[in-house]
Amino acid sequence: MISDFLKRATNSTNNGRLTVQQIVIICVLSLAVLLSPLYVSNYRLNLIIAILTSAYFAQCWNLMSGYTGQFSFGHAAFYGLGAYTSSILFVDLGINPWIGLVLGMIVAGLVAAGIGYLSFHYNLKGDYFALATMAFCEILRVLFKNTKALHASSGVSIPYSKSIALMQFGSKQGFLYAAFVMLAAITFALYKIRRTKMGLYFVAIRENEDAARALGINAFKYKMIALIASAMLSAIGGSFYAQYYLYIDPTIAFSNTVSVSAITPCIIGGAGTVFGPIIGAMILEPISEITNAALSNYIGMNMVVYGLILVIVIMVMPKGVIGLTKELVNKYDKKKAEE
Amino acid sequence: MKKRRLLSIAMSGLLTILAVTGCGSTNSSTASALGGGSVIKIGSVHPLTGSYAYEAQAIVNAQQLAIDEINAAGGIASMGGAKLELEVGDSQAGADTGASETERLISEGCSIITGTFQSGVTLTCMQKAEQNQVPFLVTVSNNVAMFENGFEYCFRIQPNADVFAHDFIEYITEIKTDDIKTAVLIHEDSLTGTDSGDIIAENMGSTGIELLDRITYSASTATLSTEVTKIADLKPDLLITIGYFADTSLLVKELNERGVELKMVCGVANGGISDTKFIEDFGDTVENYLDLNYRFNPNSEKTEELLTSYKEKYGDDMSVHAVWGYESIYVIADALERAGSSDSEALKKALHETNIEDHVLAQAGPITFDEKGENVNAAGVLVQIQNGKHVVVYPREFAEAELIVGE
Amino acid sequence: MNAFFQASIDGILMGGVYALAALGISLIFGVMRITNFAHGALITVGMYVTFELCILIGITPYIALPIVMIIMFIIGFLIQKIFLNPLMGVAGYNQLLLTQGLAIVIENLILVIFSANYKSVTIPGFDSAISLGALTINKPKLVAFIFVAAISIGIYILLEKTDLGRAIRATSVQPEGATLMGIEVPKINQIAFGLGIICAGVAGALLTPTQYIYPTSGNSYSLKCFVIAVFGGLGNIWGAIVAGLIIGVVESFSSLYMGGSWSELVVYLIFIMTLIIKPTGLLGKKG
Repeated sequence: MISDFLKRATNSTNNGRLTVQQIVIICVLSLAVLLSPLYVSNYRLNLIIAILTSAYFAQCWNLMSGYTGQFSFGHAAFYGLGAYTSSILFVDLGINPWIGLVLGMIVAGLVAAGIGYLSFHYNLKGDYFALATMAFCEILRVLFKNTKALHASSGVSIPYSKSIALMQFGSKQGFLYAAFVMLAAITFALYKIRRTKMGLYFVAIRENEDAARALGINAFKYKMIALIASAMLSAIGGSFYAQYYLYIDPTIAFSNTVSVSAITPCIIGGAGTVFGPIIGAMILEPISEITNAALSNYIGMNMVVYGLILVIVIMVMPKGVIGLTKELVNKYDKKKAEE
Repeated sequence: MKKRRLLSIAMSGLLTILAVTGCGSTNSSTASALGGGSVIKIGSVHPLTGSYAYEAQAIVNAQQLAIDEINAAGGIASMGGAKLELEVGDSQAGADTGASETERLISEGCSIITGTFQSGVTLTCMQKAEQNQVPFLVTVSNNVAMFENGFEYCFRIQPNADVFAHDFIEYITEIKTDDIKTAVLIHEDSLTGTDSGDIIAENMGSTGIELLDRITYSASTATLSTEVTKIADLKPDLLITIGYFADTSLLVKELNERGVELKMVCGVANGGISDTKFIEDFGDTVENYLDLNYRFNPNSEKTEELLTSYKEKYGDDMSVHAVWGYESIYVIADALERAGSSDSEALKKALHETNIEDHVLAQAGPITFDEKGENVNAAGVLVQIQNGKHVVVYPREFAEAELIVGE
Repeated sequence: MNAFFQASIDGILMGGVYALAALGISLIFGVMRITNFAHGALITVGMYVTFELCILIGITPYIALPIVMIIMFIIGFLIQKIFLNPLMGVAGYNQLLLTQGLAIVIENLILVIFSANYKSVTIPGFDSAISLGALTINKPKLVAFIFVAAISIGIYILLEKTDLGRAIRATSVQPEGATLMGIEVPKINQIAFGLGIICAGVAGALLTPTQYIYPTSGNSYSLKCFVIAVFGGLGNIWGAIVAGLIIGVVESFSSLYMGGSWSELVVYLIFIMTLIIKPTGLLGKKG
């Protein structure tokens, strides 16, 4: 019964359509989130917002790295550009953050196009591409840190207001729903993309780029599309971060920690799957919250335990939660068939 | 093969469990020791892991020391002897973690949050405290702009970068001798160094000392030899340095090795020069180094007791940063006493009315806050290393010894 | 002009230490195709091991070096055996993330065990530099440079002239082929990882006289080592050495002429140029 449910729930061969079980899970979780302000304390909403935003950012990464297999280790670059563009335009020039958000997407998209052109034109792959993205992100950090016009190391502090017109959603609930909409939209888009020709090309490039090229797929073009789209969507996440925390500086916006935070939920949940990043975020955020709270008097132990859990999870499920569940269900089926 | 993988997984699992339970066994010694009466929780968010762990731990230690003292003396009298309790949060040197720890501590019932040592993180935490309408008292963070946001619930006792820089300019003009004509300013390039660095570079003209060059470096650098080469080439009379402990030490180490001769070295809120470990490590070579910094009042008996009890409890000399952790608790206790309540509105109101004469800080006048929440009388003092000890040499009212200039 | 020569000397000496640490990364990547993000944390481990040996036995870091090497080898060997070996053959990003996780664990275990206090090692007679006219040479860095040269040659001989070395090289070229030849690939991987970690540990040990020791003190080397390893050509020993020296000098000159804040930028630009123009690195074979 449970095995059957899990099988249906992790099924991805159903013509690319959702199974009933999957739809049930999605509806239950969505309702749980949407109704959470009714039964969850104001503080706990924080955790839910953190899960949603972390899942969103991981989905951005998933679109590019999970789907097309181009592993980026510097997604903070786009996140930071989004955060900086909307914040600087608002604070210095009084431009509405919603417009700043769009401009931030454009800036991130242009920078991504530059990075993508250099990387893909010269055929950087695997670890080389990962290290290159990391270096680009570091370059942005140094540039922002040393440029007066970009506030240098002082960073940007955004005045607190409660106006939706200024992209501040007044209350926790506002941010919660905004984050939910963002996550739902990107997840829906990723789900739809899988079923299009483009989605198939993405996966083909991931599985075997040379073969994909041989079949006449323009790998360069599709990798560029994935990277630019991913960068533009990450920029939205960055703007959202800036409006939520109301302060950014170069080390916050372009830090390696941010880049890693885009990757971990995706890999823990299952890279290249539609729901992997969400599952990953649902696991990781509470763990970090719990270790911090439970071990707050044992300095360092919080991070040791978090790190160990990360290590164990990767060792137990190199293909993520979704991959592991599939494997287990298959095994169970085989056993049953043998009997 | 499979077995081995299972084994290794099991091993790492065991490690985790050991780690958690190892901690659990020594748990809850603080809470149960408090006994009867109500408890007022004070939140403390500092970068206890990561690159600033040393400084952060000292601040939290001092806060705990102050809390133990207050509790031992009967707690908050106006609230029926209510005891204080420190709830610690680890910002992991990150802004979003700091913010979420702030919210966690608020949700756990902390009446006030203190923190955080890094200006960027402090500002993010202040935003969260302000939104939750819970008071926030800065322990250490000197950025000026963060108190320009019109926050109502945020307070700072320590002097900000602006005060540091202007005090430096004022004092150096007073104490400089005629043979000090040129200077080089070297500082780390994060918010801490840049803030004061900018103001000093702008105002050096008024001191009559010519600023030859301004050198910046990243605090995490592995070497400062090129920077020292530059200094050796410029041959300034005065070297002004703003940095943390590790980078300043690196700088001094290389200066010593090269035998670079300087007539005067003066730090501004320098995490190295004002640390006792700095003297232990460099001995005679840093004799007569100056630092303009915040400090405890050297001429008060209270300070002496504090330094001794800190050393007794933690086996380490109390750092100057730690003093602000200590004093922050007394400011909070004082406000609680007057408010007679740990309600955040009442506490905020009481904090605004703070007027503490009896403090351990080297500042003229009481601790009181202006409408922005900044300590009106916050000031820096000039500290000099003499005979292997830190002594205050300027301004006169706090001076323990005469300033030594030249050989 | 004086500053120019002084910057060259300082750059070369610093570059030597970079080179050694990068050599470890290069070796590990060359054999196992693993990008080891725990390298910086293991440099810190090397520093703490050295510090403890100096305090406990009362010896200088240089005499402690053989013991440090043994301990670091064991640590590396075990990390590979316990954590990485089970993951050989799964998607590469898993190892990347795993080493990142290990870095978090190591760094914070150090914090738990040794506290965050700054520690330092002093060697009598090493507190002044050797002066050559107007130029000066930092003694600990000079000694470190000599050790780096010796250890690099040692590793070169090990790889080129011994059976073990041949087995390592065979594994790095083609693991499947090596298995067919009767080479125990997992064991070779463990040894190679151990060797790589020796490089990290020794770099850490050699840095102790010039640097403060605290739980994150190795971190600033991490990214730089990747840059150097790629610049020299991943898996290429001499490449790592030459690249290390070049990066050391470049860093020194950019600090001198552009200011320290910008020197990182120059290093990363070189890195990206390398990736674009010649991804196999300075001394790597063509495409």
